[in-house]
Amino acid sequence: MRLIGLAVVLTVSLILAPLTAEGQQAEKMYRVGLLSPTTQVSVSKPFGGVCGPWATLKVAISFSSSAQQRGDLIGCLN
Amino acid sequence: MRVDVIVAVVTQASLAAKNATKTIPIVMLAVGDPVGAGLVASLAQPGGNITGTSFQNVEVAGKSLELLKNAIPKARVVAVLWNPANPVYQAQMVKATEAAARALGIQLRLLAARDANEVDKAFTTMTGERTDALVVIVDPLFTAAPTPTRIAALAVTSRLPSISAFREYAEAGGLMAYAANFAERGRRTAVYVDKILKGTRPGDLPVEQPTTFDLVINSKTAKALGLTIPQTLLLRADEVIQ
Repeated sequence: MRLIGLAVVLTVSLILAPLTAEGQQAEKMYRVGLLSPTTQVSVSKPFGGVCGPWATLKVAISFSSSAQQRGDLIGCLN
Repeated sequence: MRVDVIVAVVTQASLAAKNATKTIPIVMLAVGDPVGAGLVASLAQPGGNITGTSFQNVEVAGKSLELLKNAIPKARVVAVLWNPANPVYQAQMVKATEAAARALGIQLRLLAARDANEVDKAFTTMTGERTDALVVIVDPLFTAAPTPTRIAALAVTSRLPSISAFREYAEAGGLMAYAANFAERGRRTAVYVDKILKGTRPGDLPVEQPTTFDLVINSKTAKALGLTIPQTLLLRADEVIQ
């Protein structure tokens, strides 16, 4: 995937509810790219590094928080 | 890097994502007018690999100007600060604002700014000619800190009542803001991602529009500008910053 002119991609790892197979739990990992037209800023909260300044960042945080509330979000990678 | 879903923030990023892939699901966030921007065929049935939440800025652009006129009934010449580097969305917003201006008997003065320096130059122009008020068309350039605080301060120094379509503008010292709630839009966007990861096709998920818009008035700024905001407008406000 190539996105010309837009540099910020935040990768959020999501995990769905554990899948049970033959008594063992399997976890399926997903990657969600967050694409913003603004420059990258790192912050310490809430997940150790989110991309995008201010208003865009606020959206990113609320997006992440919602996922976390449902127990889906397990991490965030720049 | 292969991702399972792309969350694209604002029109510019959503258009880039759409141009980049026809297979990876795209969830728009805070797009002003998804249909007008050519992102989806319709809100009810977006089709293809894209869906998400609208911010509906374009539809309410005229409302912002009307609220500004309510605050300053004598306003005849209103400056519009816009960013031509974000062409599709900004053109939609300018067009909608122009239509509202005609209906309200307001003359618009369009002032372009592609970076912070041009924002300063725009204010020099505003103060050099008759300008009664200012509309800041919301754009990542203007919403990224510290620009909102800078714009709000310049507006006060230039004695210009102003409005923008993001509530943080009023919090940063702008006179007024009229906008959908960004945080609520963000939470709704997460629901789309969840559904898509669980198997729903993006094109089958209708684009969701905001149901509420908040009017925020900064009374400290009104005081600094020597303005008395009409009581009727204050009563309509969802928040008055003291």
